[in-house]
Parts: sequence; structure tokens; C-alpha cells
Amino acid sequence: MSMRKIFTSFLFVLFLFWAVLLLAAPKVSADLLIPGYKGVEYCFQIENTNDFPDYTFVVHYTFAMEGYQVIRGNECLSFYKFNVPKIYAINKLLFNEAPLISIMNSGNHSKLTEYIANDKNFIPSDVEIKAISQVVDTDPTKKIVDVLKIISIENDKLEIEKSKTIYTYTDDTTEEKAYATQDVRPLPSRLIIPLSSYEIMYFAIPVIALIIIVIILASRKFMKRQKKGT
Amino acid sequence: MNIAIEQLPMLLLATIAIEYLVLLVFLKKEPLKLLLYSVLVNCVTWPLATFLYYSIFPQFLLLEIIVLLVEMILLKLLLQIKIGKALLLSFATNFVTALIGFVIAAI
Repeated sequence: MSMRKIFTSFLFVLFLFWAVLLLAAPKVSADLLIPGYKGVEYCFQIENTNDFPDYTFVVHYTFAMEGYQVIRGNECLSFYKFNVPKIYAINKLLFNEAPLISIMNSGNHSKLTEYIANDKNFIPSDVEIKAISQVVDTDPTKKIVDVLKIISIENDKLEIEKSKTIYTYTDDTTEEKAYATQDVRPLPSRLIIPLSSYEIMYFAIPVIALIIIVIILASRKFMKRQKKGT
Repeated sequence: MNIAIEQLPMLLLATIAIEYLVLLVFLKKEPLKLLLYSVLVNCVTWPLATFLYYSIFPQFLLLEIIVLLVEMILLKLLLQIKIGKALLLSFATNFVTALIGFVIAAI
């Protein structure tokens, strides 16, 4: 068997192993999320509702357990982790809570969506609020507060941005971290994240790919030298 | 991470496919070898960049520049081409994938 064939077979086996690893990655992850995690309190607040005294702010919870809540000042609002909250502004003079209370009392909560969608006085915001219910065991966080800020209210658009996250640690100290991008919640600085088996794939795949590249380059060099020798 | 775990292999495969097609447009030779190199290069940069973006360092542009430079070096070594051409290829592949990513995100 020539050196070239040995190298090719070795590369093929390594590539196969690596491909299996790549395909197995999502399956490996499935069962590893819950163990090693702990519960945390979560809520969100709007820091500047007082700057818009002509408006009432309402949060509508959809999906898992439909409901609504009138936001009072900068109170911190908690919700069921699978709920999707959507914030609305309504001119105070046009806001009438009675129909909302009536829908809630009727028990047919799904009518809320229909009611809010049809009432043009509800000015929607597209800010996405995602609850976090658990963090890794090693995370010293016990409470997470997302702080939102109203940027503007126009006829049909309520613009809200996530401004910062306040972490309260188990020793009752707090830390504020500003949002760099709206999609990604800033991480607390005291967090040390142990990599899960799935996350190890993020490093294993590049390492194996790099090994294969090095082998290709080395074998190329080796072949060149052999050719020169003969 | 904000990205669904189930999506990751699909996203990686999509990136490999797009970058492979772009490389093929430019180089038009040894398609199988090109596919292997495309797989290897993306498997070095994509998982690391994705992990960094969603876990530690959410700076898209800066990460994209680092990826571009790393891919440039790998393409130069694997394809045995000049550094300028490697930079052009790396820029083209990453530009197209980023553009497609933005379009999909906008939809």
C-alpha cells in the first residue's frame, strides 16, 4: 500500500468520524438542559412611563396563559415563562378597562387578542421580551430584571428599547449591564459558564476540522518531498 | 443561547452550501476537492463564531472580520493561491452568506 493510499484512507476515516460527530450534535444536547440548572426570579419594567403622562400602558400576554396587566409606574412585571408579552400604549382619555375585565371574567381569554387587535386605540410595540426561568448552577444570580425604555409614541407605533439588565446576586449585591444588541441579553460579569456537552461541539468540530486541514497540508508537503527524492 | 439548538446543523450546512457555490463560481475546477475545503473551512470558523456571538461577544461586524481573515488564510493554504485572491474569495463567500442571512432575517 502506497503512502498516498494510507493517507487518503486515514483522512477518510477521520472525516467520517467528524461527520458523525457533527450529525450527532443536536441529539447529544437534547437531555442536558435541565440538570445543572437552577430557578431564578424574572421580571421586566419600563423605566420612563412617567415621561408619557397622557398614556396608559398595557401588557397583553399571549400563548400559554392569556391575560393582560395595566402597567403602573415602573413596577416590575413577572409572567409565566412560556407567555409572550406584548406592550401597548393607549391614550388615557380613550382607555376603558371595562371590556378587558369583562373578557377576563367571562373565562374566554382568547377573545382578548381579537379585542385588542380590533381596537385601534391600542398602539403596539414590537419589543420582544423573553422570560428566563433558570440559569446554570454556577451562576450566582438569583433575580433578573430587564429594564425597558420608551423611545417614542406615534399614531400607530410605540417604540420601546431594552436598555439594561439588572442582576441581583445571591449575596444581594446588584449589577447593571447595558444591552449592546436588542436580541441578546447582556451576561452578568460574575457568571462562569461551564460548557455543556453540546457546547463542547462548538469547539470539537473546529479542532477536528483543523486537524484534518493540518494533515492535508502535511501530506501535501510529504508527497512533494517524496517526489523530489525519486 | 438565543438560537434554537435544532437549527445549528442546518444553518452550518446552509452556510457550507452557499460558500461552496460561491467558490465554485470563482474557481470552476475540482468541485469535490472544493466541497471538502469548503466544509473544512466553515467547520473551523462557523461553530466558533456562532458560539462567541451568542454567548460572549455579540459584535457581528468584528466577528465577521475575524472570520474573513481566518478563512482567507485557510483558503490560501488549502487552494494554494495568492493571498490577494484568497482575500477576495473569503470576502465574496462571507459577503454572500451575510447578505442572505440579512435578507432571511428581514423576511
